[in-house]
Amino acid sequence: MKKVIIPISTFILCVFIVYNWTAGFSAFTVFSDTLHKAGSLPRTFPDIELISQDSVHFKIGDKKKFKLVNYVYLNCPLVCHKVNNRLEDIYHSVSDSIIPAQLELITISFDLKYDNIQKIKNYRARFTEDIHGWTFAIPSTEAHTSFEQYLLDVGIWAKPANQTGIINHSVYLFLLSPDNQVIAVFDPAREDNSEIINKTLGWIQKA
Amino acid sequence: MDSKSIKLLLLFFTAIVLVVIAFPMNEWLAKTMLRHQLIEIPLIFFCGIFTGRYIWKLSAKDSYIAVSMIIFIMFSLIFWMLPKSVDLAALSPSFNKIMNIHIFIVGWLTTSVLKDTIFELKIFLLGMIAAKLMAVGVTLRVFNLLLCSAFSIEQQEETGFYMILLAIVLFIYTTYVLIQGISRTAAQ
Repeated sequence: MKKVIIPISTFILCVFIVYNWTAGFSAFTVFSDTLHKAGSLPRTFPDIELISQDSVHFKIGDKKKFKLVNYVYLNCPLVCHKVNNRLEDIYHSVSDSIIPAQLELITISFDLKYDNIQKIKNYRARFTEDIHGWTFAIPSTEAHTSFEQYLLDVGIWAKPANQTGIINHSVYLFLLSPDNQVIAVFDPAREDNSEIINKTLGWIQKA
Repeated sequence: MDSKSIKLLLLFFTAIVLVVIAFPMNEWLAKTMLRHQLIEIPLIFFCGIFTGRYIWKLSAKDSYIAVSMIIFIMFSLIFWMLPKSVDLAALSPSFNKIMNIHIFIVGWLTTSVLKDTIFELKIFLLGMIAAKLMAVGVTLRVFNLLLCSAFSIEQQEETGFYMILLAIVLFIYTTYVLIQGISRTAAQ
């Protein structure tokens, strides 16, 4: 009997450990694991005070409409700009009656060291002029101390890579409802613009 | 020198190698994915093999013990190749030490399986490790997505390439062991 029980028990124990470690074989990377640990959907979006490109202090929860939120840093060599270029396409693919009245795009920088209001203002100016429903922001100084925990609560992993100065980070887009609940998370690396638009508009139509 | 003294000397030598990998060289090894995956882990693994081969090994003469060890070895190697585990081992020194100890035990148990068990199980173990290395290598090589946050896509692709080469070498060795085993069986 033990000839069967010992190998089977070892197998079950090993599967159990890997199953738990990967959140049910769903979170294999630190990016997906951080998102998983932030909680299942819908969940309340953690709110901190932000400063927009026009130096206006605001909280995301104060905007009583749908919000599509992403996180970037301006020294990013590639992926942040790619995602923002796609957001620009998404912005212009959605009707003017939806943006900004029902939906707003918010891009937040997590690089507390190098990004500032002037930089995000200049960066925003590189996009087309008619993006009045797209806010670029940095965290306010008061929010700096708890910002790392805030990112984890949102579900974003952002850590500097060894010696390169690059910050490796998640690129998720968070769709928030008017009552500040995270209702959908999009992965631009896996979902194309039309999928993101259709799902977003689906939520807006439902509301 | 008697065999006990030789064993003690070898144990001392292995301990020094392990300490050097785990402490002074650890930061250097954690800097790139290639060093982490294809220098640090194999070195620790071979320290375990060396310990099992020359110092002290568990008996795996009973097939059910050998099968249990193979299951443990396979899952352990899978665990330490998951991007999340790779990241945490590269970013957290304490988690890295856990990895070192675990991989050492895996190497140590591998000696028992390779020395004591039946030919079919040896082939199974070697084939599974080669297949796993190939699968991970191809994934790292072709995925244009950052899987491990501690490293870059370029390092990911480079590691994938060398992992594929390592898998090919291991496949050749497995085939050699297989042919040797078949010849021996036929001669008997």
